[in-house]
Amino acid sequence: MAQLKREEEWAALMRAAIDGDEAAYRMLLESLALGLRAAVRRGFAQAGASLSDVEDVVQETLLALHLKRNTWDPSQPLGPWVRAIARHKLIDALRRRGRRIQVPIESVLETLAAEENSSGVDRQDAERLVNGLHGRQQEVVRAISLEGQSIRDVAQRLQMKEVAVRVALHRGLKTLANLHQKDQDE
Amino acid sequence: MKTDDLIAAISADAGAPGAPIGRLVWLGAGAGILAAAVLFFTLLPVRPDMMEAMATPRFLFKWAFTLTLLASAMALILQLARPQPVPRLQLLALLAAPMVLAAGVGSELIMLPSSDWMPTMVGTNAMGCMVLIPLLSALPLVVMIIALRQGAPARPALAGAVAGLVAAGIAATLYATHCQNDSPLFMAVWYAMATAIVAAAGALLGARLLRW
Repeated sequence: MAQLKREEEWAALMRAAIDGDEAAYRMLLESLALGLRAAVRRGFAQAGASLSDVEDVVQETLLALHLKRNTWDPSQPLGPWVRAIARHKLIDALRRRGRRIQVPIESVLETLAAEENSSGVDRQDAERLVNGLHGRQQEVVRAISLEGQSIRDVAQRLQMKEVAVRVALHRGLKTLANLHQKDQDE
Repeated sequence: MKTDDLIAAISADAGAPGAPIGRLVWLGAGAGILAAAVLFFTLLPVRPDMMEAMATPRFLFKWAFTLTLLASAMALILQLARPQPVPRLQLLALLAAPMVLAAGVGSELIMLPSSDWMPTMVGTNAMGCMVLIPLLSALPLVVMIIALRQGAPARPALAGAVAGLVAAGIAATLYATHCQNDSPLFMAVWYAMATAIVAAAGALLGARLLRW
């Protein structure tokens, strides 16, 4: 029953987000991130993988569901669609780990050490990912995410039109997702 | 970057996404049909006896096969473009076209004396079929892959292969009006092989281009 109600709330929030309601979108993403974190943790634990990459997968999933929200049918519940995306990203991440099993023991220990204080914050890697953005994309994504500025503030500060800020932000998010993907291929 | 910071950036990008994936896939198929038709009518003449052929069950059978292939692949690709797994039962749709073909082959074997089987199967222009169906499929396959890149297929290679079946269905439907071999025996070998080539190409493209 609670599940059903939550599904309805999620779908309603997503429909509002698609109509441009940023606050609803943030509420939805925060709520989804909680569940995703727990689910990805379980997935990693089951596969016997270290938990240090959990937040990476959570972030990849959030980016994917943002960039691929045109594959969600608004007449359908949101949960199964989100879980399908999370599963896809989780499997990808575990495959990646499978390949990395042959790393030397020192770096395995390093990874384990990083695990303790990594909950909620992901590895240095992600910082590197943002650094992988160029020019305006990086400025805009940094200002909005790390510094919590609004689109209007950013537009004023960088002397850009709001539309241009939005475009840079959208492209920046796309680039971030691609950087994750490239990271996987290495 | 903390996840909360990422959420701030993503939520600032709220608003309508691009066109729904279902519409994009339909658009892709439509553009593919158009592109293949233009290429077909530029390259190849329609068979001279087209009007009479339209009245024969053997010719109509060719379209029954190619259109079943097209329709079943289309129904499936609309599902495969999304991240949710497609139930196995729905994947059985892929058997529809082979079953139509098998029925045609069965009745052909009954109606033709066995001495005619071999020459009918070999036909008059097998190489043409093997080259032209993949050639006519190329553009539809490319536009379908472009459309699917906007989707999130859970199984990229399978989605690519089924996109190949859509493309082959379009190409074979057109090519059937040029090709004068109307026997299901001919189709079961050459059309099927040409279709398999296109599906394999689609799977290879899909595995590379449809990852997300």
